[in-house]
Amino acid sequence: MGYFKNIGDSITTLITGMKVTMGYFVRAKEHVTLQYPDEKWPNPERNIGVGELDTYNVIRSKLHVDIDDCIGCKKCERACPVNCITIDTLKTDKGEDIGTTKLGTQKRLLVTRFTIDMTECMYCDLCTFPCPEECIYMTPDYRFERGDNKEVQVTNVERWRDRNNLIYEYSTVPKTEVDRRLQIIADAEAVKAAALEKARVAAEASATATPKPAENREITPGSGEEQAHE
Amino acid sequence: MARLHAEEMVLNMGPQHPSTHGVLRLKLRTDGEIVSHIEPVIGYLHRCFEKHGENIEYPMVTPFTDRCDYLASMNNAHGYAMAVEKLMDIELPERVEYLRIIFAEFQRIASHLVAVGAFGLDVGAITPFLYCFRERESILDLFEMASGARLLYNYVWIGGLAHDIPPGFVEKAYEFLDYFDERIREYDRILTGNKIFIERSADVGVMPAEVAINYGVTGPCLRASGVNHDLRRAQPYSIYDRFEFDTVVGKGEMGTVGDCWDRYNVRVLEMAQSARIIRQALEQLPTEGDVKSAVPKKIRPPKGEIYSRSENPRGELGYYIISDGSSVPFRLKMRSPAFCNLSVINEIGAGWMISDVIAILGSLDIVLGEIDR
Amino acid sequence: MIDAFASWMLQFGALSWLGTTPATILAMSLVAVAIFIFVALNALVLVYVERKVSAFMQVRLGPMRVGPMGTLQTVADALKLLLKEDIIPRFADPILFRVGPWIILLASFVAFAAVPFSPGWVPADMSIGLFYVVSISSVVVIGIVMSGWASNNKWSLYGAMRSAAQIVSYEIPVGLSLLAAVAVVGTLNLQEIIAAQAGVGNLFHWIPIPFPNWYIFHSPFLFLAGCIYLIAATAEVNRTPFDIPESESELVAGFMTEYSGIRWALFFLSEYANAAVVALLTAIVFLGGWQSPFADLAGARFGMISLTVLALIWTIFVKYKVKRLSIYPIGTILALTVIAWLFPAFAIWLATPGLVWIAIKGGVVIFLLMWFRWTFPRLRVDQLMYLSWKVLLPIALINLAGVAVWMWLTGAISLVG
Repeated sequence: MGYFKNIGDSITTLITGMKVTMGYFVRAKEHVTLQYPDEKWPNPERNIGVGELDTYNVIRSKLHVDIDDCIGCKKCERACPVNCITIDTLKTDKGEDIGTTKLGTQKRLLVTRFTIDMTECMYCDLCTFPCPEECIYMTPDYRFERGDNKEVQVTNVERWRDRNNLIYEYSTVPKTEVDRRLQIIADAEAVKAAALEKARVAAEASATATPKPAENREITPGSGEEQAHE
Repeated sequence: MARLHAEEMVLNMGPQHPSTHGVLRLKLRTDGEIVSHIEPVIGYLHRCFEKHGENIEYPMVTPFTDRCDYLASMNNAHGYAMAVEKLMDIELPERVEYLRIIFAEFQRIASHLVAVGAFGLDVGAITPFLYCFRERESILDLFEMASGARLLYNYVWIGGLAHDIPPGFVEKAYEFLDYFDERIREYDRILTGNKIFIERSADVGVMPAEVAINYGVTGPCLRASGVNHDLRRAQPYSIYDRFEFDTVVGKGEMGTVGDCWDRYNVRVLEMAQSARIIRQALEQLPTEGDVKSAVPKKIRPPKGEIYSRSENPRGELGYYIISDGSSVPFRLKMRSPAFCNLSVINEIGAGWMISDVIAILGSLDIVLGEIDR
Repeated sequence: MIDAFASWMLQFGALSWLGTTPATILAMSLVAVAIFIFVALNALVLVYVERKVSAFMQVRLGPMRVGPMGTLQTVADALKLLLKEDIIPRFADPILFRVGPWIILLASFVAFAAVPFSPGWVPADMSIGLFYVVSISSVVVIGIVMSGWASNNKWSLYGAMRSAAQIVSYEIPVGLSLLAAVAVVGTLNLQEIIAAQAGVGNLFHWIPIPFPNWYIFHSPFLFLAGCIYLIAATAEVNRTPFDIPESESELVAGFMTEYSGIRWALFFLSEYANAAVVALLTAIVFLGGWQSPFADLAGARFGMISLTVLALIWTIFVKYKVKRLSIYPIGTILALTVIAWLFPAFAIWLATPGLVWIAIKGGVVIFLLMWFRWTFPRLRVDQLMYLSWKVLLPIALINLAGVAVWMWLTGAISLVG
């Protein structure tokens, strides 16, 4: 009897299944397809979501920096698990005013390089929370193909990796300005070194003294390479 | 008459094969259609999770746990966060606990939906897979609403959550649950009760309870073998002791206890149980509370070690962390359930046909990201 | 048809210088080309339809970009396949690998030679038409085994072996179920089989509901034979739930694993040509071929009743199931029913040419095949054999005896005569 029961079961259950698919076939208007370029998911507003309840839901599609608000504190660089953010800063001259952020903080460092390597970024959002100025945040802009990023000064290793032109440069400081400041620093250091040398010679002549090593961490051009070798 | 000389053929299934759920390679020794020995070859997706964890700070590990089992990111991050919290003795706000449960159970549904749909796909039914993915998309919408991402959320943080849920989330969650109950009945109609499906899965790849326990199989696969072991019940972590739900155990309704159909059906029924838990959690969810109030400023656990386990959609997920008192883990070990579940494949899959091996592999519901880590 | 075509060409002024034999050969090649175009277009259309049907069943939209509603998608795909690099694996058998797809295509293409599309429209009106179609379509298996073996790939080999076992087994239920119809009509000529199904009569001979004299309504046994044929034919054309030779989740792509580009397109062409042959054969043997159900006054009455029933079902369905009450479909069908009741002549006018009717019937069968495919899981090899040898074969055999009993009961044959 099991034989015929099997056949009967097969027929009934198969027809049950066919009813489901036919139901959907008839109600083809219930489709869930989104015709992408014509229709899009709703885009949430820009926000970084520290605090207020109604403003934090942001789709994490691209990392963005409001560079005018950046104070160059490098907290985001340290928070990044994959080291996709590279920041170089230069000290400003004494008394020089390079503006304030939107939260009213006086900027003290000139951000000469702020690159985000979107080939490395894993959209974890960990960099946005430490930012004291709320200037680094995720945007819902998922269209990377437009190539609207600026020409980036990157090392050869980075350029090799960045075949899709996805290293985004946010710093707006022109190259000439950077060079000028570097020159000033170099000059100052040269003067300092000369003074130190003089002092050393003078000290040698009199007693023992140790010259201090020059402070030049901020302008190391090789920082990108260190990152790439990880 | 001389005996016909017959040799076994070694068949490489994968790493590029439609049904190996990622980049798994199975070395099958086959005699015609019959498979006599299965040797899984893994490591194609190895990303040094554990070594990586020894080099980055505690909160930075969370996104990587998401990437281990990419179908159950919330559960993975939940397990990791619990481990570090235990190590640091952090008391969590009520709201965080409830939200974590809600998201973990939503993730369990989403993961089981993939498992159920992909199992259908493995036995040749393409349509249920798309129905399952439709529902999964709705869950991902909820996740996106809360965390901003659809797959890798980095939402469960050590000591709290990345964000509070947005207004309207609870309503949408209820809406989904009401809609979802209907859908489970639909899966039953198109797949679970389908005679061809039953023929393909019932009595196939039977895993007796003894074998399951010996191989360290956990999760739905273990429960399908008739062992009533669910960490949410057996060792209630987080606040699972506050909810009413049944642990689903395979009964062998269509064949033997522990066959592919049981493993499939346990997942279907577990989805309904998860929905039940979510409903209770949504009802009891405290309206007040800062989800970040318990997030430590500096995560620097005291010297010591911890093993913390939780129930992932695939089974028992354990994290073993040794802390040397610095902000970077000294050692981070992950006990991934799918890895242990896969190890049983030769035991239960040898002697079946190629088609059955596919079905058995599908019913084990492995995620290669987690196996290879 | 060939002869008629040839003599028409001879009468035609510009071609009258042709001799009889060249004219016949020319007619043959023209008809062959026409069928080939039909086969190609058939695949183009069916692929599109299949994609749309599957999409709608899976709450998707399917192709929407190329052409209006994606209608040109398959054309674009075919073009892409044509332009693809022709890859032959290094260790494949170079000759068999090339020949295999062509044999498969040829076998499914040649089967059309005996298919009657309309009264008088049959490329070769042979007395063993049914036998010819059934036997020639099983030549496909040679091509499949050939290409599976020649690919020098284990998956392909598995696919080929499974296919051989499957097609050989399912030949038998196919043959037995067709034999049931042949037993009733007493001929293997497809045109005569269709001609025997003309007009409208009682359902199952005795139930006084007007139904067309198609063999599927001839007796319960022939109804069963039709179902068996449909199941076995699904297996013969390798479609889900019997698509084990190319089961994509197990054998990657079965015997097609190593094929790409135009050779792969040939497999596709023949797959859909096979589906069309099976559908047409079902339509011819069980659904009355090109016969219109509304051809005479009795038919008109049948048309009226069926339209009314349809309208009622539709109204109920729309009202209780869909809930979004739309007036247009109900209105159309109600209006059509009223017209049909008022003017029987109009219903007779619905008896459009045979080509349209056979296309409609074949289309319904193909839709059924698609419906199966997008609903069911796949059977395992041994279950497939079980179904063939232990279920379909005994039932078909008993069924054949049942047909004989039925014919004796209805007086079509007598034991003494």
